[in-house]
Amino acid sequence: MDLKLVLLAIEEGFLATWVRESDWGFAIALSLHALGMAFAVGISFTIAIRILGIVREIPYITLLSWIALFRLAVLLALFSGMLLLVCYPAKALTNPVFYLKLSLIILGLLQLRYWRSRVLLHGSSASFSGLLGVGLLFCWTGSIAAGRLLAYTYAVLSALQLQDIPLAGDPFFTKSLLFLARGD
Amino acid sequence: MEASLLSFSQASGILAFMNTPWGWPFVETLHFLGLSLLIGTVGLFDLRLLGLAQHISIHSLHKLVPWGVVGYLMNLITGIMFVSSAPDQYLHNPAFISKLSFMGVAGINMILFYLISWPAGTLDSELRLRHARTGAAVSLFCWLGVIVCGRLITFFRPPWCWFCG
Repeated sequence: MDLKLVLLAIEEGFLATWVRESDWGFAIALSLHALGMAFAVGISFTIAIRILGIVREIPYITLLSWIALFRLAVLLALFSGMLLLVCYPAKALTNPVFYLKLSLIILGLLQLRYWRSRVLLHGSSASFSGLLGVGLLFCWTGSIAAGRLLAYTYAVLSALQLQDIPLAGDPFFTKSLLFLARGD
Repeated sequence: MEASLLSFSQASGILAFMNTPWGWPFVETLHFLGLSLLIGTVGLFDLRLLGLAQHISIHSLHKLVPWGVVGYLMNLITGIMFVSSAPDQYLHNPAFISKLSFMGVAGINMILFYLISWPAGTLDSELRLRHARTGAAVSLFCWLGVIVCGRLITFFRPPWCWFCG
């Protein structure tokens, strides 16, 4: 399968073209992504702050009330992230930082899932190691940092440029993906 | 104004730092983390006042607000670093001006909240609760506006001009 053609087809599809070239499409997608991430990261930070022993007056069980809002925020960030991805698929998918961002988000979500299951099981008597709080702060801070770095670290903007990238000096992952895309 | 901001940036070493390869992305990361901290504390407090998550006591959630202030200060410091390093990109930018306006309204709204709704650290009457709810709606609207306008700054950088027709 020629990955470059797949990326080109996505990039030149109706949705990507409309979002990228309309007056407000890309700005709306970026704004929704920022809103979704701000709420997802903000709620995770609040849970992490509580796990680290600050503001003990808030019982864990009551913090579960924010999980529905957290899920909504993650869905918004995911939906808008997909819109941004289809606009410039080669830009993100050839950048190792993009995979770092995804990995940190998945790790952050798994940690919150663990926290939620323990609170559901033990109620307010659930106890957590400070390591979980530090882990949550690390993953969500890292995901934001990686997201910001995406704007500074990409090797190509469009899938059209894939064949023009010199492989020497590129990160290993980019090399591997370009190898696939070239169909060598 | 632009010249004095730039000279402040130069004299304080901000400009030199921002022009390193890691300067802008590092400060942008801190800026967004501050905003997330603000939304995760003040934003949730606002939503609680508006009736969400009623199991959580308003007073215990209010204890998170100082962390929102930490987030706000992070945003203020990093924001000054952005603006002083490239004032021409911000001072005439309608998205940035709108962002500052939202921040100003949020600030006045916060002062009114503590003066009118929460002077004794409690919402002890129906009238105060109603005022607090109005304040929470204004606060949430302003902070969402700050996020959206902050994201739109990049679309209105010079040479974009709103009075050129």
